[in-house]
Amino acid sequence: MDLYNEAQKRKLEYTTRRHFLKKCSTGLGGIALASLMGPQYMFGGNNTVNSLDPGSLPHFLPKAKRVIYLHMAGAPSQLELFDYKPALQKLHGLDCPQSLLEGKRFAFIQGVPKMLGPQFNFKKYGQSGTYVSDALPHFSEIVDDVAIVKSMHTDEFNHAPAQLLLQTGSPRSGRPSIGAWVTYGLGSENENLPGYMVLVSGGKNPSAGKNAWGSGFLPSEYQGVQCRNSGDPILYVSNPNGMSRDIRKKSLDAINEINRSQYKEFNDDETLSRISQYEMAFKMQVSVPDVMDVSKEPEYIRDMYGAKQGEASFANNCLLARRLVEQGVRFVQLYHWGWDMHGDSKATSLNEGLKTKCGEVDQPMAALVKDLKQRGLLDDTLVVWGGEFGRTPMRENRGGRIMPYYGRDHHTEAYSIWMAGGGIKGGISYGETDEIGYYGVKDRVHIHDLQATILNQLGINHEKFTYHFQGRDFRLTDVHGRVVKDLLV
Amino acid sequence: MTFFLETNIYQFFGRFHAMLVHLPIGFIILAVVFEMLALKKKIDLNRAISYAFLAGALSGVLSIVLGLMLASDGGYNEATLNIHKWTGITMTMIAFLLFFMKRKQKTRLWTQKSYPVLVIILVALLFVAGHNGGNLTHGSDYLLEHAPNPIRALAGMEPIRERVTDLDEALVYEDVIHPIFESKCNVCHNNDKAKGDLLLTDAESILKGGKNGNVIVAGNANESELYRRVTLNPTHKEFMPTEGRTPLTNEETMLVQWWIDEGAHFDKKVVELNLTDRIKAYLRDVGIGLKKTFIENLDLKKVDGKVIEAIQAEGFKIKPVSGNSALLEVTYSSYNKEPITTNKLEMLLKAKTNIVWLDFSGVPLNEDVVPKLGQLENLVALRMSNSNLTDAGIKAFESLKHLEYLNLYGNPISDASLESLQKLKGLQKLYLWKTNVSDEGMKSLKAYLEGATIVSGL
Repeated sequence: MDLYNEAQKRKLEYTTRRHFLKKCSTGLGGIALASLMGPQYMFGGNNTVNSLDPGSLPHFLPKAKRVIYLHMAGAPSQLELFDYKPALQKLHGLDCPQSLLEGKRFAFIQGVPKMLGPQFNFKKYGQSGTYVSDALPHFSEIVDDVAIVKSMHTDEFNHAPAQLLLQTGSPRSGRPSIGAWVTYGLGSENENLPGYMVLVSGGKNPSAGKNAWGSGFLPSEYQGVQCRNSGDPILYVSNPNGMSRDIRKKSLDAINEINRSQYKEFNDDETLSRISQYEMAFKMQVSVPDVMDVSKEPEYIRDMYGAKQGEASFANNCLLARRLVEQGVRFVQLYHWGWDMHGDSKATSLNEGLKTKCGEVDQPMAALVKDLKQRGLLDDTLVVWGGEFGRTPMRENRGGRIMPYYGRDHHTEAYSIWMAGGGIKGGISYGETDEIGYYGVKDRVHIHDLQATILNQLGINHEKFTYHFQGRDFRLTDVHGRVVKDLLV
Repeated sequence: MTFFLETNIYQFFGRFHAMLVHLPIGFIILAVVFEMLALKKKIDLNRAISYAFLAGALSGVLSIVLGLMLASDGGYNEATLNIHKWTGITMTMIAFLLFFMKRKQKTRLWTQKSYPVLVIILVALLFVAGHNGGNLTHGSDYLLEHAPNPIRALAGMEPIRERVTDLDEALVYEDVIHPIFESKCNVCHNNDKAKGDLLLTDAESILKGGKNGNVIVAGNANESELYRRVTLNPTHKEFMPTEGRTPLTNEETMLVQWWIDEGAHFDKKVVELNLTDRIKAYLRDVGIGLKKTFIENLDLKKVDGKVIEAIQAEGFKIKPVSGNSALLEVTYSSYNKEPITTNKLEMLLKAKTNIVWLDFSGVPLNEDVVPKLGQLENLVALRMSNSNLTDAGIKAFESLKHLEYLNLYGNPISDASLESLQKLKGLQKLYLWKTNVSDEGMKSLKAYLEGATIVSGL
């Protein structure tokens, strides 16, 4: 007789289902209570606070319906392209005065650097008489359609945080990017394509990585969809062998049906996101290969951009950007990598590397503005071109040594961008920097001001456009930003 | 007492007056309500009533002490303050009296007779004290500021001057600066509560300045105390508006600066001063010189939701141009496999007066469909690039009198369409790239449509 086993057996016989239910009353009750009080709170959904009234946006009559953002990752030198400083030429090669260095921090400059004059010649172009350097011959043809802002400034002097600040309003990752905000607020104009698409050229992703087009705390269907330059534009966009479009449709319908009943039960917003993503993916199987096919353009248009089929070039991406906005994509973002001209090698020198980069973007970006204009799209498409910060009027002296080539260090206080279309004045230069382009001295424009202005053109009041997350309302511009009225028509 | 050296302890306690003063008001009303209840229901509430009066009287004493502390700072209209002070003190005394009378009501006859009289006086005084107190805190204009003009007339106030918003006619002080002062400054700088002895209600008092002298140096904003105060760091002790009230916006500050720099005129029109583009933009922000476009002037009823749904069911994308506007924009995606038929368009035309923007670009249209578009009487922007339009179709657009934007690029139309296009006098932008319109045709069209930019390719 095994007393121990006998005791176990008796105990198990004694313990009935009733005991279980009795003992669990607090735990089960708690779970039941939570699901009664509001199932959405159990699964992270918060669809009551943020249910965006579809009728509430835009806040006022928009000037622009779409945005093409041309981000020059690495930060081009304003002193070689737009901000003409003859006085800096005179100081070329002299020691930088101590007054400019005191209390300053640079990414690489150490000790006393030398001043560095502009490396390209400038001429006036257009009826507006806008100064543009020789490096951008095609751009000089469109200056009368463009507003150049020369007094941009930012808070961050390293690439990744500066790119994030520009694209998400915060130098740390995790916030939604401006494209996600805009598509969240205004939706897409074409149900067959994502509202926010991203094209990358120049050989590398931007330093900020995919956070630069992330959706942060917004529903994930608003994140930017990156398209590839070769193969399928989007991974797995074509059906595998043996899978017909009908079968694909049936299987997606079945999955969505399950997801829908799941949503009914748990009210988690991300389930809805997932459903719409599946539906979008199915439509994209047809629409994306079509819209991403450069060969559908006539040859003279391809030549205008300098686009060649199958290339991962900025020219192709500019042409694609036009095709996308033509189809009603709300926010198209182009990243072109490689503007970080420190002067440590030939490829990163102002005289050689910058010229190459300018050659890659000059014709396509001018063609983009012209092409949008002749199609009547420039009226309601806002084009923005610029880097994440500027470059110093001093020559970089990494480690206190003389660099092999001419280069400039990162600079936050003053740099230039340009904007065109979407209700922005053409043929103006806004803001002024001092004689050497070191500080903005008139009409300074902060990154948040730029963001506020872009949203304003889309009919959005940046102070009212919020999303409730982790206990507070978030804005793209946080607590900053003012619309730059002088730039508007 | 170093703790209080830096601060005004009288003011610290005094500001609780506005809060605590509601206690006696509440207790007295409670006593009166009980009294009426007792009369009506014939129940004995005498104890409750007497204690309510006592509580009213005691809290009244506290309110009086705090009120006197608050008033010590000055800046209030003396006459109003006196009335307020003495009505308050009288009320407290009456409340004490009523408390004692109520306790001994049964014993003496004369108290029974005078009791109701005193209660009525007390209630009357309550209103007098309350109203004057409100005037002292918010200004005498506060209560009726937004009253309709007939009520303002009854109160002997001037009717509200209709603000002139036309740039050519607006007065710089009356229409621009005065409204800013009214909304942001005059809660404290008015006839009843001239804080710092400063009134900002009219030209005379603004020029008179406050207890520290002039607040405005005509022609020099940077030397003007008023401008200095509103542009300080908001955390600065002297920043205005104070006490956490809404500060002036950036635009309002710039307009005040401009007004002072231009000489702080009280009678000139806006256009008589130096007007830069930037100032014009700021003026638009406060509602001056907004040139309303055609569609901004349109006052239409919203289209019924069911009609909108029926239109959507036909494949059109239709939504308000902004927020809750009644105006609609319509698109038809070129991804739609079905062409736009007459039936579909008939459905769309049920909302025809409200449609102001229409985008059919890339959608081939049949010849029997196009003429119907002429019924969209309020259409302002029409995008029909690459839509297979012919000269015959363009004829229908002659009736679109308000059209400002017309995009016809990529349509096989020729010089035969020019006659119709010439009639669209309101056009600002016309796109004719990749059409068969000749160069001479473009030139002649430009002569007719002077205000329009015609884009025929680059």
